[in-house]
This record gives sequence, C-alpha cells and structure tokens, in this order.
Amino acid sequence: MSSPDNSLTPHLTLGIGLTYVCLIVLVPMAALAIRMATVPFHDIVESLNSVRVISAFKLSFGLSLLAALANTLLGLPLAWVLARYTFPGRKVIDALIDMPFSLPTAVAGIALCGLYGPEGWLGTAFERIGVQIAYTPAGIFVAMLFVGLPFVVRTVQPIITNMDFSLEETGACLGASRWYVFRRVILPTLRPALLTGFSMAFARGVGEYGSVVFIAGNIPEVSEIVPLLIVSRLESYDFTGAGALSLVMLLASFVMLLLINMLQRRMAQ
Amino acid sequence: MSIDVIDVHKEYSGTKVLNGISLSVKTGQLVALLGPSGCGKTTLLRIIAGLEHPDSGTVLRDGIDLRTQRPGERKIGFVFQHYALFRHLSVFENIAFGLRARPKSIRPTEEQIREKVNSLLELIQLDWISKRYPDQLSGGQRQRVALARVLAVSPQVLLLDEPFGALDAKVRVELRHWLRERHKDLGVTTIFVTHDQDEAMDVSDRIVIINKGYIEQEGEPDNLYANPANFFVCDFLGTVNTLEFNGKKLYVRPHEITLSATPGGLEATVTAIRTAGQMVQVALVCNGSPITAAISHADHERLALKNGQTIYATPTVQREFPL
Repeated sequence: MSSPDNSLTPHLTLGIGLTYVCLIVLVPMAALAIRMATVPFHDIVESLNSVRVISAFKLSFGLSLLAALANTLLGLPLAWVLARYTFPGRKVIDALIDMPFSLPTAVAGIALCGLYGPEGWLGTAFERIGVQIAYTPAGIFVAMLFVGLPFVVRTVQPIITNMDFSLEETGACLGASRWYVFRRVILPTLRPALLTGFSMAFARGVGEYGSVVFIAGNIPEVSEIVPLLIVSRLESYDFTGAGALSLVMLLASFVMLLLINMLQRRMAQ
Repeated sequence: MSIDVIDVHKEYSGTKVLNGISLSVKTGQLVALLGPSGCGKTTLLRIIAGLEHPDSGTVLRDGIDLRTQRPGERKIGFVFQHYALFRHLSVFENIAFGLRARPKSIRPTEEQIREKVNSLLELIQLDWISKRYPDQLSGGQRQRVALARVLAVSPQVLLLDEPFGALDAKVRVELRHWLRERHKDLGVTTIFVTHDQDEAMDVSDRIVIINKGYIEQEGEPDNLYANPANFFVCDFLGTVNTLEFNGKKLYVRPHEITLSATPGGLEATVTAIRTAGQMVQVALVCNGSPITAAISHADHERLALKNGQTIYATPTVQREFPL
C-alpha cells in the first residue's frame, strides 16, 4: 500500500522489514558461509565425499520429498472432509491436526518410537507381516509424515472453505461428471495452496531432527539423516565437517524452495 | 420446452421455504419469479435445476418427471447470480467447458467445439476477448460469458438467478434489453429470478409473484399492475396509498389521485413537492397520515401548489382488498 500524503511510511516499513529479515535469517546464514569460506575448498569436498555422507543426503532429501508427496495426497482429502462435512468428532480431529505443530519434536519422536518400535503395538503388527518400521528408512518416513501433515491441511483447508460452491454446481449443470469437475475446476483452484503445503512439509522434513532420531536408529548408510550427521560431527569437534554439511543443506534447500516458488508464480499467471 | 412445477414443498431445518408451489411455464415463455429476498424464489429455481430436492411434489419438463434426473441430464441451463465463471480458464475455455466435459462417445470434435464457441462469442458480441480471463472482464461481459457457456450445451430451458443483480444501473438496463432480444431470437423457455419489479415488468412475458413460499399472483405485467389480487402484490409492484374514503379502505396509486383547489373529497395539506421527473410528486398529509400523489406538470402549474397549502384529494379508482 502506498500513502501519498506521507512518503516516509513505506520506506520506514520496508526498512524495518528488511532489517528484521537480515538479522533473523540472512546474518546467521551468511555467518555460516563466511566461516566456510576460510576453509580450503578441497577440505570441504573431502569431508563431503564419503558414502556415509552421500547416503545421508539421499535419505534426507529423498524421504522428505516422498513424505511431502504423501502428505499432499493424504492431506487434500483430509482438508476436504474437515472443510465440507460436519460429523461427530470433527472438531476434535480438526484440533488434532495441529498437534505436530505444537508438540515438542522429541515427544513426537518418543511416541512414534513407542508405537512403531519392536515392543509397540503397531510395530509388532507390522512385524507379523514382515515389515520393520523402527530403525529403518520407513521409520524416518513415518516421522516426516507426522510432522508435515498440518502444513498441507492448514494451507488447503481455508481455500476449500472459501471456494464458491456454485463453481461445482455450474460444472454439474453443464453435464460434467464429479471427477471431471474435480480435475478441471477444483484442482486448479487448489493447486497453489497444495504446492505451498507441499513445499512447507518438504522443508520441515529436511530440517526435522527431534522426531526422527529416536525412530531412525541412526545406522550409518542405512537410516542416518543429514541433521544427525551434523550433530555427530559437532560432538566429535569436527566443525569443518559439520559446516560443510550445513552449507550443502542450506544451498540445496534454498534451490528447491526457489524452484517451487518459481513454479508457483508461473501457475498464478 | 415446457416446465411444470407441481405442488412443491421444501423445508430447511424446520423453516418452510416453499409451501406447495405449482406453476406452468409454456414453451418459449420468458417468466420472472418476483419476490422479496428470502421468499423462496431462488430455492424454487434450484429445485427446477435439480440442485435441490423438493420434500414433496415434482418438476416436469414436457411432461417428463425430472425427479430421477441429475442436474446435467435435465437439459436445463442455470446461470448463477455471480456467474461462477472458472477463473483459471479463458473466456473461450469457459464457454467450451460443457462440450469438453462430455463423455468421449458424444463429445464433439475439436473443430466442432471451436465452431460452436466462436458462434456463441459472436452472439454475445465478445469474440474479440476470447483469450482473456474472467478477472479481466467487466460485470456485464462476465454475465454474457456465463450465458454463452450455458447456451453451449444447448439447453431446452434457461434458468437465471438474479441475472442483473450484480451490475450497475446503466449496464443493467442495457443488458436486460439485450437479453430480451436474445430470447426473441433463440426462443428458449426462460425463467429468471429477481427482486426488482421494474426488471420483471421490463423483461418478462409473465410475472409470478412469490411471498413466504406461496405464489401470491401470476399474470402479464400490465394486468398485475392494474389488477393486483391483494395488498402485497399491489404494494410490491409500486407505491400505494391507503386511504379512508366514504367509509371504505381504498388502495390507490399516486397517479390515481386527482388534486383540486375546490372543496370535495379528502382534505389534505401539502408537505413537499418534487418536480424532477415525468410526473410531479406531491407529498400530502391527510387525516394525520402521509400520502403521495403524482400529477402532471400541467396540473401542477394550474394548481400553483405551495408547501403548507390545503388541497382536496379524490381517488379515481375504488380498489379494495378483502382483509
């Protein structure tokens, strides 16, 4: 918004906004980059170039992507049901959706571990059909699923609530099937929100630590995620190694979110 | 195609919205459902379209019971009050929607679709904006696109919910004349809902006046105005004064009152005069209650009316309603 009578206001708000973003977001990231700039390049490459590191990266990004995808597919019908239908227990479910937001991640981790662990009742049930969840990538996936769900539901739900019902009715009156209306009317309307929810769930999955480490088992090259690797390097005073991992993680996350943002902008046009 | 609504009842959580509505619309007619907001007229329209189900009663199209037919099967087109255009689709694709949505076996070819859409774009005189998106259109253009979209699937009956409600005054009048012309060309049986009596009078062949879920009266616009069946209809279709005259309670429109300087009729005091318009509006107080008379400019000059002046009012019609 611009106010022609007081040209100072937009500059002031812009200034405050930028300063805030710099202090909170940019400076810490820059500090990391500057610190790493003093380290010889081949040292960085060396500390990254191991099977253990590469498999951790694959695991972190691959599973986050997978979990975000699953959350988008499952979150859409969940958001739909919560926005469109009234049924007993709806308010409770609606409140439960926010739990992963508010729960300390370690609590979630312990709860998931108890549930899916070898002693837990879901864990033993899966064990009977020959599937092990705890201490495998599947466990990490479950944890990421848990923490990412509210991002999708909470971004999509208000769009569904505010969606003009007459759009669907128009489709029906024009003879379109429900599936056709969903594909050509509803989905395009929800697509930007779905993409936002997806990218937030993905980002959360990549950065997730607390809820993953308990259930993951952290077996090198099998179920060890990058954030854990960073912590373990810090614990052994390998600051260069930890910094190198962090830098790659930072760049990769930034590029991915940038790509999603660009995709979103293109869709909005 | 004709539409018959037979004894339709509808209730929403204990509130009766429609109380046994029966209505016949003949092929090619242009009918207005007129009533105050909340009278049930939109619900009736939605029941005809199949978007709502009546609690009892039914709707026939050419004698065929529509109860088991879904909205898309009824050959009835519905235009929503706010047009419900698909924002992410261009004008062209909006109009083509109904044709593209058909199952493969009866879907027209790409060429046929283009031909049909282009002819409709010509009909609505908007062929130059076929690539634009709904957000880039004016209200009147959106309304016409919504109409073309529904005409693309060749409906036998057209239903319009407050078609001019969201437009500004000048566009509204233009568009309703345009609609009237298109109706003449196409001859599609059309039912539209409005709360504006001018609009209903101006556009329709027949008006159905609905109030509190009942049909109060139906008929040709001129006839309804001249011979209202009850006070509600009389009041809804224009200004009406209630006068005590010769011991009878009369309902008289402003132009049905003559004013005279010579004693006779009802004694009244002039409180305000408004000369802007085709008639001069004279506000009077008669036996303590306000009434309005509309007289010609010639009469106004002859009487030389002034505020506070005493004048004699005589009704020229003896309209009474049983209480």
